[in-house]
Amino acid sequence: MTAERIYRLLLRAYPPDFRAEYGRDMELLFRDQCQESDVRTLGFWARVFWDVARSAPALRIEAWRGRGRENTQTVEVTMKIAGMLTVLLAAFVIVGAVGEWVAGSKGAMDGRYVLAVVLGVFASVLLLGAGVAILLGARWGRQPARLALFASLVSAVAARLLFPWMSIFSQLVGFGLPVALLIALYWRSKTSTFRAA
Amino acid sequence: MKGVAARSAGTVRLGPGTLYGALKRLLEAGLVGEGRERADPERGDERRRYYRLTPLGLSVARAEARRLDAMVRAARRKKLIGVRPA
Repeated sequence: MTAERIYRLLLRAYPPDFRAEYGRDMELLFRDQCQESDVRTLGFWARVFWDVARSAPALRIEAWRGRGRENTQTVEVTMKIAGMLTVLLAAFVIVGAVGEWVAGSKGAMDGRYVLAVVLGVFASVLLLGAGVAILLGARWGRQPARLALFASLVSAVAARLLFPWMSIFSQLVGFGLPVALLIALYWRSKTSTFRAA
Repeated sequence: MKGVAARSAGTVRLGPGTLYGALKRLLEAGLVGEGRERADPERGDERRRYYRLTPLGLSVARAEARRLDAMVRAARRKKLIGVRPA
């Protein structure tokens, strides 16, 4: 196996992007070194291996950190979109509940129905608040958002128990959205702690 | 690489990995840029890429040189290293 073939194998220790950019130059530089030194000596190969051992891990870590920063940006964008969706859906549910209330108030209303609507509106207001906190993106807003989402979920469950005829859409918004956002908020804080460590 | 080895009297030897790793960081930091010159095909060295110090790189290099100079003068004042040769 020629020296250049061995070096090409060693180059696989470097990140793929780095190899694509500089791999050819590094091979040519190594070829120059082979012409100026005796490749049959242990000292030559000790220097080659030391160079790879010293530089490749650091570049791999930098590449991994770079990917981590991109992933963080993707998560940030996703959370902003989730925040906007939450605000819109919560506002839609509030408007719908108010509309139902106005329509229902023309006749006699069952007490349980009234309480269910109030709880539903309360849950939507909390959801709206959580969505705004997520959109603002401030670190201090994370804990209040979590509390609001949890309270919203409890209110939605209570409303569902009082009014079993709640629509599928209302149940999806009332249960599914807070659960999904809670998971996302807790998962984000765990990965941030891991990276900080 | 030869220049570095010559200037350091053989004490600093850069390998391709160290050299290009450093070049990559310098490029990302904007301290060096790839030059517009292209290799002369008649010289038979098409792969050669030229890099140049950017104005930012030059001011960083000067600031670092001043910092090292101040450290050496402080070490001389404390007689940690020899007096400046005449």
